[in-house]
Amino acid sequence: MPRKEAWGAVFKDITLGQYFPEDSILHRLDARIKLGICFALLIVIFMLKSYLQYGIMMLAIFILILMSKVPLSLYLKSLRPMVILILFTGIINMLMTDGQVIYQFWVFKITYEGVTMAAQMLLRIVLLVVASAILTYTTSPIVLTGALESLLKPLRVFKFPAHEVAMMMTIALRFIPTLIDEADKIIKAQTSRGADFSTGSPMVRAKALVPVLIPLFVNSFRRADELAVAMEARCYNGGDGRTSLHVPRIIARDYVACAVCVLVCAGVLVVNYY
Amino acid sequence: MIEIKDLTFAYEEKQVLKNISLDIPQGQFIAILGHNGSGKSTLARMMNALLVPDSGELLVNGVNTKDEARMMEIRRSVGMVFQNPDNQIVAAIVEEDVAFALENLGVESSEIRRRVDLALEEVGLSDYATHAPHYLSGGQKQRVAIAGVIAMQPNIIVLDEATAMLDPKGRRDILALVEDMHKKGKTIVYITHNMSEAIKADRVIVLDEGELVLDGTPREVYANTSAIVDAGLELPRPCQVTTALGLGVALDIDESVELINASK
Repeated sequence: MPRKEAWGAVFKDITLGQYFPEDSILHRLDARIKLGICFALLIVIFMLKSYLQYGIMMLAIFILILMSKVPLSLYLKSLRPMVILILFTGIINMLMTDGQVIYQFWVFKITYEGVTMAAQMLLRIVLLVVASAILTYTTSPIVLTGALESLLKPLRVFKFPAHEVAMMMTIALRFIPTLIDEADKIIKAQTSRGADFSTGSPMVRAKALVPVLIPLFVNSFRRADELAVAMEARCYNGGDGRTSLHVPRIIARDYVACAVCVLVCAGVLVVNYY
Repeated sequence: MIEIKDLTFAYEEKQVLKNISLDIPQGQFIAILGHNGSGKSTLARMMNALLVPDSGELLVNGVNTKDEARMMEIRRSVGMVFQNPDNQIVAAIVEEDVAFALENLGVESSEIRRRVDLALEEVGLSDYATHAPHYLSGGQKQRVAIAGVIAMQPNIIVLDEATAMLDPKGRRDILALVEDMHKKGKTIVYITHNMSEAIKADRVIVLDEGELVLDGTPREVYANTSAIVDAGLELPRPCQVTTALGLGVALDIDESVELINASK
């Protein structure tokens, strides 16, 4: 009965980020640089005004997609959850913007400005999603966590717990697969004793999950306790004075990537004045 | 070297350890036996300053575990391996987990690299250095945990029921690794309720309800059949057979066969 497996599959489908292992220039780039570049691109995307600017940006993003060696279909997949948002903002923008009316029925007016606005919003959302997908497809979540920690470190001056946040993310990443396996085992154990997770209304099925979540929840407290003891036994004492196995080094190609990024961003912003 | 003097400890009302005195010289392979709730895990945690005695002392290489200023010194010289392999691996990549203690201690990166590679080689997991731990078997995960301890270069290694959740193969691998570390001069404190895992130890002590009831070589201790039954433990099968036949203690099957043949 394939349906019986369905809930197990639900848990299995929670992917760890969306890293796509490949050997591309983008994959090898220092994660901190990649984060910085991605951030810069996102800001520039928000500042785009003319179609020319959008064109240049789309070309730049497209080149990045090719460089990432990640199949185009995956990028399209990353856009799928955004479809409703894109449609919704598009329609709202088309109908709510005042200006030169091009089509009218009952109380609704579609204006030239509204269509422009909707088109730009659509392009903007697509660009934002794809730009961040490039980062997450080419950087493993573990490396990304490390990069975040080192970028957030200066904020410790303002008492921001950079190390603690990074440690929490690391432990979460480490335990997600373990907890998924455990949930799977509990589901199988309860299914074998006659529990039904796959029939009934959504409400009934959600209720059926309660006896799965409770042992999972209780167990994770036990795990947390044991892990804390094990960490203490291994001399964990917070972030102060910690060193690291991997010291990421910024090399020539990282500087080149930075320079290219600055040029492209500056170019895109300046092109409107000519 | 661990010196325990008149140690007592209670969780709230319950007296878990009662007047334990014990000296473990450097390089000894000692097995601590006891059934569930005998206080053996509590004693293990005392050795790493995770718990401190209510009264009495526990000294690790001459340092009192009550001396909070020197706690890190104690923890770096006493490596701990726990029961559940899943709940003691911190990092999402094998080599990063092995490096965890060294990172905490502020060891320099190149030295961490060197020691992590050596430790992984010692436990035979060099090929898995960049794997995610959840793809490993229980025995392999436990070897990752041991590698993390070896990398710290402690002179004492405490294994708290480290094989309890493993399959027979994983169990054998861990025991072989423990013997190997013992040969390299480490003090081994091996905590278990399985008496057949303790036969390779230099010395065996038995805890019952927080009291130290037996202390000696495996051969000496296993001869006290009634005390062992009282402590809620079970002699290894070959030993059960030979003692039931009145032939004395046999530590493994070969020895029991010899004893039985000799008695004919």
